[in-house]
Amino acid sequence: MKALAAVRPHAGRIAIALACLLIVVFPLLVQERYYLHIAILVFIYITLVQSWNLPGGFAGYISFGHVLFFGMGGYTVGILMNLFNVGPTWSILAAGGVAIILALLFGSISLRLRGVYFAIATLAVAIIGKLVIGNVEALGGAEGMLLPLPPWPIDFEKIPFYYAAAGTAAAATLTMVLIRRSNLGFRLLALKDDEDKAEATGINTTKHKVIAFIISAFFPGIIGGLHAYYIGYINPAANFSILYSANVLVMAAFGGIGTIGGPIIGATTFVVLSEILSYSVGSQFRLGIYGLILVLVTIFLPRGVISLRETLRGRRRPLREQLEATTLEGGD
Amino acid sequence: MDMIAQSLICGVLMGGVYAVMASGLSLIFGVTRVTQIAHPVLIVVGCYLTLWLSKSAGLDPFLAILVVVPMLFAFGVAVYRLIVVHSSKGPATAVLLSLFGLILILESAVGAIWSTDYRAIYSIYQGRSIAIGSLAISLPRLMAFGIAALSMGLLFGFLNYTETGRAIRATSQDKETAQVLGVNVRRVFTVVFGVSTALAGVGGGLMGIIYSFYPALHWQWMGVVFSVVVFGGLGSIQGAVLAALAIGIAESLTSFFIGAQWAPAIAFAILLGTLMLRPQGLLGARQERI
Repeated sequence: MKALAAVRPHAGRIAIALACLLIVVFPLLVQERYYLHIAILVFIYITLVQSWNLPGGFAGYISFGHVLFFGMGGYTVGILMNLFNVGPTWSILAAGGVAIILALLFGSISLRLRGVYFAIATLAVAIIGKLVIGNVEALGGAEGMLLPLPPWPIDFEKIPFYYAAAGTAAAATLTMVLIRRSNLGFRLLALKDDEDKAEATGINTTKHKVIAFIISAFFPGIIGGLHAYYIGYINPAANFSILYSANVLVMAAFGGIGTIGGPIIGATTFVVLSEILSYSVGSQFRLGIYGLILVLVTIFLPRGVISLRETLRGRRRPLREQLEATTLEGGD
Repeated sequence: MDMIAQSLICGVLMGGVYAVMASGLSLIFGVTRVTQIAHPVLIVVGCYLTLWLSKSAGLDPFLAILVVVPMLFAFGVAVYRLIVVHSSKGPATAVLLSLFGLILILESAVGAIWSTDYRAIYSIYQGRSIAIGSLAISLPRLMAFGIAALSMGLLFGFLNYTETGRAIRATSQDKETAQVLGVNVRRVFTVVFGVSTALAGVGGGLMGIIYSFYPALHWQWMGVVFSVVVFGGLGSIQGAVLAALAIGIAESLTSFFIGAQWAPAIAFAILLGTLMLRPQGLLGARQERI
């Protein structure tokens, strides 16, 4: 067993390297455009869930309104490309910038609220955002607007989007890995456990929460902009759909809130499941099946599917428990 | 001037219905400290059950609401026993997430049974109104307000003059002490969930008689009920009634002066404003930071 344990870190790295390689060569192996589309959706959701997980999983601030950043990202790209003739790359980067500004404004006010009040405030802001955008005639109102077509040939169509989405998902994941190991990550975990005590030990909780919130808004802004350019059409009902928030919650809870692997497992499982369900039982039941899974997972598997591995192995404990153990038992 | 008076009256009548829609949420929070985010979708369930009973059994919609009450009482008990009890054993966010799951289940189930199209409940009062001077007051709205006032009266009577009501109030003040004094807290919580869900059913039936509805409407109502409850002061039912009337009037004036498409935003704006400026609301006690 000892020898196996020594091998395992390498095994993990090899697995990650193989997965990256597979992601890079996937468009060459798969000719069917449909599968590329599914892969792009998976990357979009990995980005969204990883981002949501930063305030949601690490700090315990559940946001129902992350779709705001996604939708505003889409609209930023739409406005810049249509009304100001800005190129796609700069528009998408600007979408990230807009998300940061929004998160700074909204986060510094709403993060004074705790628990469910924060969650409701985020929902309120997302719904107001949708209403405001939908009532601006210059942006097409409820009809939305069409975006310019990509300049590259049509057979090539999805491949640049595939790599851009994969890159964004990888960047979001890597950011979360780094944050988790950083002081910011540990402080967020501390304030999740007990915010008052964390504050009493001298952690500027508001500052850390706002930083976490800004980072968690940036990637949805970028991916929202990319998604808008990819689909080529934006409208308030689709780009601010509460379903994005719902999907992200379900994926995070299913995979494992507050983990790095959880969002990847959750996003991949649910995008694929959603495609299968649309074929087999019809899309109107999809939401209900998601809901059922969410209820069952929170009751029977509160730490998500990823905790199964730990339970089965019975050895590796989650970071939070490790931290508790080291503080309670006085180190190793 | 008449138009303003008209929209004020309209706002007050809506406010009465909002009070019924939101009071259950306030009661659940006040007693159990659970934030029942699935409350709005239960109101939608109330709409559709009223529609179903009035259509298939040919009941008058106001009578159908009477049948919806025990149905949703039982449903509320089931929600508490099957979901809340179990998920509250898990991490702090588990109750919130599992109730979010319930929202998705119910929205999908309602859509699957009754389709996602707009629906409306037809009654013989439809389109009738009573003229007072130069004002015309819609009869269905007036009757809905009457039923709402009656329901709130019954709720006050139940909480203040019955043994169970006393136990509920005791539990909301101090759970541990109530338990020591022989109150069966689990039973109190069960009853509270039942009563609150039944109130959601009444609110849904009344809304369904006034407006047309569709399964995803509860996202919009979430703004209304949460702004009523937060603005009124969490756990305070008197506060909720005041806030409901205020929000009803605010919405009605907004749609008169600014435009009907902005009316749904006003509840969310009041909600956000209250959370930022006075989190304890109008009549809420200053408690732990929220």
